[in-house]
Amino acid sequence: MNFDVCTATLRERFSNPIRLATLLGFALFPIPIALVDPRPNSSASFFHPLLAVTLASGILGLEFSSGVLALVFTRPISRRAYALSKWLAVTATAVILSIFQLVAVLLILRLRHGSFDPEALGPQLVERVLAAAGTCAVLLLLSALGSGLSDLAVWGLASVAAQTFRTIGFVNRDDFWTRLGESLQFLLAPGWGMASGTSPSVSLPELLAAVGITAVALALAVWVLERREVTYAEVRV
Amino acid sequence: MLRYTDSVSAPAIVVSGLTKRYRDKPVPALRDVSFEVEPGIVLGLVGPNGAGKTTLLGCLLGLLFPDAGRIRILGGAPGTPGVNRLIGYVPERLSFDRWMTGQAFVAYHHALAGRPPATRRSDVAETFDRVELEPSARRRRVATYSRGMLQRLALSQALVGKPRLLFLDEPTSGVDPNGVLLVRRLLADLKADGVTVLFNSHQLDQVERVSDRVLFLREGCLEDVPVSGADSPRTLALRWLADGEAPLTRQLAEAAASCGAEILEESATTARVRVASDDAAARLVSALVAGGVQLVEAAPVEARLESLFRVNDASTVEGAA
Repeated sequence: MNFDVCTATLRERFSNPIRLATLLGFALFPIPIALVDPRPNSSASFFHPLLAVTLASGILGLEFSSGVLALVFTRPISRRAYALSKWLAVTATAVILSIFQLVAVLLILRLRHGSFDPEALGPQLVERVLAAAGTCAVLLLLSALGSGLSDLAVWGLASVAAQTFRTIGFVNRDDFWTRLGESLQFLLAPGWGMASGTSPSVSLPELLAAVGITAVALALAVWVLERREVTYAEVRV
Repeated sequence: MLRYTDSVSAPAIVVSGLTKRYRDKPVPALRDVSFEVEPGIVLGLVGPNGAGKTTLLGCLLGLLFPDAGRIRILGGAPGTPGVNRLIGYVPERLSFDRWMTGQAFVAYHHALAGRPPATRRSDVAETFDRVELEPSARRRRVATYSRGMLQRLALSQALVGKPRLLFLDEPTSGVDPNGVLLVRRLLADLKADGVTVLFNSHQLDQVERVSDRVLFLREGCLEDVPVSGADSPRTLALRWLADGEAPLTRQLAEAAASCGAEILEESATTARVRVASDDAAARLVSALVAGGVQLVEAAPVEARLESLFRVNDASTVEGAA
C-alpha cells in the first residue's frame, strides 16, 4: 500500500463537484425518510452501496482515458500496490460515510420513533463494511477492464438487469429468476441486503461469499492491470 | 545490431530482436529491432509518422509488451520498480492530474519516485527553478496551465526523481522558442551530469543539434545509416561581397577543385556548393578567403538529417520542411 496514492486518490475524488454533490445526496437521502418512516431497514439500508459506487466509479478508467497512468506506471510503484492503494482509499471512505449514515438513521429512529433495535446494529455494520469493500472491488475490476466511466455503465446496466430478473421472478412466482437476480446483485455489491429483514443477522455462508467475491475481484483487477498495455490510442485529449 | 559506443561502461539500453505487433494491424509496428545505447549520451530517435517511434518508447518504458525480443534498461527489465527508480519520462501528450496544483503534482511524483520526504520541498523548488517555471504558476491548478507551462511541468516531474536515464517524447512540440532553448540547455546540463537521454522528435534540426547519435526508424525497422558525422556530404550556401561586376567563376572553380567540391549553382554574389565533409568545407572556405574573396556567409543549405530524410524517405516528415 502507498499512502501518497491513497491521499491523491481521495483528493482527486473530492475535487470533482458532481461526484461530491452526488455523494452528499446519497449520504443524506435516508435521513429525511427516517424522520417520517418508523420502520427499521425501510430506507437507510437500501442505498448505502451507492456511496461506494459514487466513490469508486472510474477509479482506474478515468486515468487510462486521461493519460495519467502512462506517467504513473513509469514510477517505481508496482501496479498491484497502486490499484490496491486506490481501492483501500475509496473503501475506507465509503465505510466511514456508510457507518455515519447508519448511525444517523438509527439515532433518528430511536429518538423520534423509538423503533431502534440494538441487536440489529452489529449485522448492519458488518453488511455495510462488506458491501463497501466488495462494491469498490467490483468497480476496481470493471475499471481495470475499461476506460473512462465504462465501469459505472456496466455496473448500472447489470444492476438494472438484476432488478428486472427479480421482478420477473416475483410476478411469475418463479424462484429461478428471483435467485438469478439476487445472485447477480450479490456479485455487484457483495454483502448488500445480508442484514435486511425484520430480524437482521449475518449468516456465515453469506459472509464467506461476500469476502470471497471481494478477494476474487481484487485479484482479477490486479491480474488485468498487470497485463494491460498503456497506449495513447485510448487517451482523450 | 547497431552499436553506439561512446564509452566503455555498461550500456544504458540494450534491445535485441524486438518485435511488436498490434492486434488490429497486419504489419508489425516494430520488426526485429536491435541496438545498444551507452551511458551518458543523447540519442535522437527520428523517423516518419507511423515508423514505430512511440511504440519503441512504450516498450522501453514497460508500457507496451513486446511480442518477441529482449530489452534491458540499466541492467533490468523495463517497467519494474527497480528500473523505474532510475528513469524519467516526458510524454508527448501532456495529460496530467489537472485538479492538482503544479507544486502538488511534482511533489506527488517526487513521492512516487521514491525520493526521501525530507528533501521533497527543496527538490521540487530546485526542479522548478531549473525549468524556469514562474513561482506564481507553481501554486496554480494544472488545468489553468498554458502549453509552455505544461512542458516545463513535464520536465519538472521527469527531473524530480533525479533520473539516470531520461526519455523525452517530442519535448519541444508546440512550444515557443524560449521553451526550445530551455530543452536544449537542459539536455546539455544533463549530458554534463552523465545522464543518458533518449530524445524522440520530429524536429530534425533540434535532434541534430542536441544528439550525439541518431537512431532512424522506418516502417518498424532500424536503419543503419550514417548521420551527423563529420564525414557526411552536405550542401553549402556561400555569399560574398561583390568586387565590381565580374563574377568569381575562376576563384570559385579553383577553390572547389582544391577540395573536391561540386558547384551546383553560381551567381554574381552567391553559390551553392556540394562538399564531401566538414574538412572539405573548411578547406573550401580557406581557399576562397586566401584567394581574396570577401566571404560573408557559408552556411549549410539544410540540416543533415533533413538531407538524409530526403534520400531515405520520399514520404512526408513533419517538421522536415
